[in-house]
Amino acid sequence: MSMEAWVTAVTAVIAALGGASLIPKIVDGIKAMRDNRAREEKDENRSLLGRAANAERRADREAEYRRRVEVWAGRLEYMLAQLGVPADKIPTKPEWVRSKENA
Amino acid sequence: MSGVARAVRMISEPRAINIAQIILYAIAATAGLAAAVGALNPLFTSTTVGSWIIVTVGVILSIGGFSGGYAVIAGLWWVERISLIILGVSWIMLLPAALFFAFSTHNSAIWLVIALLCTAVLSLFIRYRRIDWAYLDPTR
Repeated sequence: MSMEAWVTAVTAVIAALGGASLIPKIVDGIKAMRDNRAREEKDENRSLLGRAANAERRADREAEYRRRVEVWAGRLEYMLAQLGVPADKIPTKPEWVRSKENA
Repeated sequence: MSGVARAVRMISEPRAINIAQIILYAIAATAGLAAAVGALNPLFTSTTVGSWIIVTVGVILSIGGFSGGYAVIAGLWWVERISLIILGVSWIMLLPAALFFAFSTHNSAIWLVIALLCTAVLSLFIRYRRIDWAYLDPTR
């Protein structure tokens, strides 16, 4: 058998193996489509994206609320000082606790 | 909204990656069609195993390229996986002829072709694996 024939045979084997590996994928895909599994996975991914978007919106709303509370607390602190309350009697502002995630 | 903008919006997120993937499939399909009609006939196949291989690879490449492009636009992950396997097989089919040419002719330029083939196959493998990850799932 010549070298060219060997190369041809190897190429044919690669093509055959590739073709054979496609069959289970095609069967699985068609099965998934018929069982609505593909649709379920799509919906699940959509809901994951939706959940992430909701979490982001909630974090934005909380941050906005926190800023407004900080402004309000600052005003109260100013009013207390204006009314003559000593600075050491005014409770100190709680410190931001850094976690590993937001450090 | 213009037609182009509407077409781009149809493509699922992450859009930049999926557009690049569609371009990759379009290039494969175009190269495949050109090879299938005999417009491309590299020396390393015609002088070793014969020109039939490039026509076969061209047909397979164009099938993989067209089906892959459609799969990304439609968000059909399982069809895209099949397209990736088809494309991978077609590139790998060229390797034996390229290696034979490299060792029999000592033409150093063929090693560039072999490197490009390996790069193409690995990039397809990366896409195949990334479909498993939710953030790169091309579903819409």
